[in-house]
Amino acid sequence: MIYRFKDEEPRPPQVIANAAAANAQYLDRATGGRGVELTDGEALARSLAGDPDVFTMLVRRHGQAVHGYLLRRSNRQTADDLLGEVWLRAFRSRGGYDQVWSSARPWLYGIARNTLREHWRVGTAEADELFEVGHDPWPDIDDRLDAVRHRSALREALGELCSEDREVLLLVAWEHLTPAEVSVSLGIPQGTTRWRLHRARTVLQGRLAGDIPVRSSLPYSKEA
Amino acid sequence: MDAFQLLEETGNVPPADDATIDAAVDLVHTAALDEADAAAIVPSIAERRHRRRVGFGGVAATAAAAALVLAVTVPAGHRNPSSRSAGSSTTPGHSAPALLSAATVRLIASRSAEALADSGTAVDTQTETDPSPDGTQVPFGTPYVENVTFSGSNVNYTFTSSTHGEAGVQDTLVNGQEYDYLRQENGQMGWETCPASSSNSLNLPPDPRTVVQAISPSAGLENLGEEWIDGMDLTHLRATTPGLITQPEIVNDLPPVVSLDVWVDSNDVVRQMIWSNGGNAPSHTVFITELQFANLGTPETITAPSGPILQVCFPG
Repeated sequence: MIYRFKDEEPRPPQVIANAAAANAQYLDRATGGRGVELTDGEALARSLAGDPDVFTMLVRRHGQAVHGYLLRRSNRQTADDLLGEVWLRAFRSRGGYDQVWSSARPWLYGIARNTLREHWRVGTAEADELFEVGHDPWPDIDDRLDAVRHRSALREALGELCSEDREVLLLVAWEHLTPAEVSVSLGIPQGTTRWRLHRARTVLQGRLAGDIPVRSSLPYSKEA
Repeated sequence: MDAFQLLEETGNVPPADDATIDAAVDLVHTAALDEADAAAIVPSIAERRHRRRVGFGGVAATAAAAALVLAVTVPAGHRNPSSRSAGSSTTPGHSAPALLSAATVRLIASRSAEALADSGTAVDTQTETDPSPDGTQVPFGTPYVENVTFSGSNVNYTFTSSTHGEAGVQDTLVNGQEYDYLRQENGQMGWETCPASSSNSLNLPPDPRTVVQAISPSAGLENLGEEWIDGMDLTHLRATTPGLITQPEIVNDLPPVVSLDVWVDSNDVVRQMIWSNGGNAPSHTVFITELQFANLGTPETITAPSGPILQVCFPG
């Protein structure tokens, strides 16, 4: 059987490596080495065990989603430029992936978020002087929202959210993550996620009252 | 349309170009290959070919990052051509020989045992060499060649030539029952068997698949690089401490092991082994065994012989 860690179990590197190797051997036996599509966790276990091919499968599987994440928060050029960096960081930090996570996508979004924030932080010094923009990527998003209906009301409402609340809301609205997956992506407790989501929705509702109807509860693509 | 739907709509963006995704794939692939190089883990055929053809063009940022990875893991001038063996070609560009980790060696042994547990064929060639007056080793007689077909626990052995006249002899093991096809007292070839219920046996040759058990960390295997052998791209491993190999499957009743070379495929499955025993006083005879596995996974039919079968057992 696939070895899984309990949440409270300490995970020294050698234990993780041994488990990954054991999982890889199990999967080889179970799949005959081929023919059965691996889950994200299984693929990462094989990658940790030394299979250099398998991680590229994850790039193929989630590449568009990660690119979409970057594009929704920046622009085409930045998304194209940062995509490879996000995947390199993911590859190097794959030892930190928890096998209990059913999908790697929230984890990848977290890496993409950090990569994007670093990108903006590095660009701040120059950009501040020239364009008076801060390290928050919101200005680029704001530009794109100008192209849709009700843009001004929505833009103002989102602009009033703090960046943490906004990120939670956008992970649900744009990336269709559940609150549990948002917690994985941002590395925060589920209770915090739910509170931020509630707060973001409240602000949104207050700002848009009488302009755009707001649902009493946000739809989730999956149950938390 | 409510606010949340509007927000969702603003999240609709065009997909990335295929070239952008491909660039990310190539970047990660390169990083993975270099990590495997650094860990002396056997790379696969696909990866090695990929590495040869993958350039570092495309997005400038990804190319720069790839170059950084290479600079960190492979110091300049550290890649040497690997060894060559007769009848093979070796691809230069691999890292200098490095010992495989114990985990990797066990993984190779495990994967090989699993692959060989299915079906396939093996050719076992054994040669004896003796020292000549000028000090070189020269072959003694003709090689002992054993062609083996296996399917699960069933095994069939045929001997095409040997120094000791075994040509034409056939041994078969079907469902635990041993059969031996050899020349009878009347001069004709015929089958013999020893009842499975007997505590004795026909003393069939050892199953060549058990030899992979000798692939253990104690052998101190190092990676010599890639070689093209019989249409396959194989990774050549060599024991740095062959004298520490004690597995009976390879030592048998021969003198100590003095060399062991192993070739593994992209699935880390052993495809060829060559080892030698002896070479020391007083006889200085060297016993060289070459074992090649092929047709792994190809269904093989091994059936019990029909017709008259003489019941014979030898103590064993």
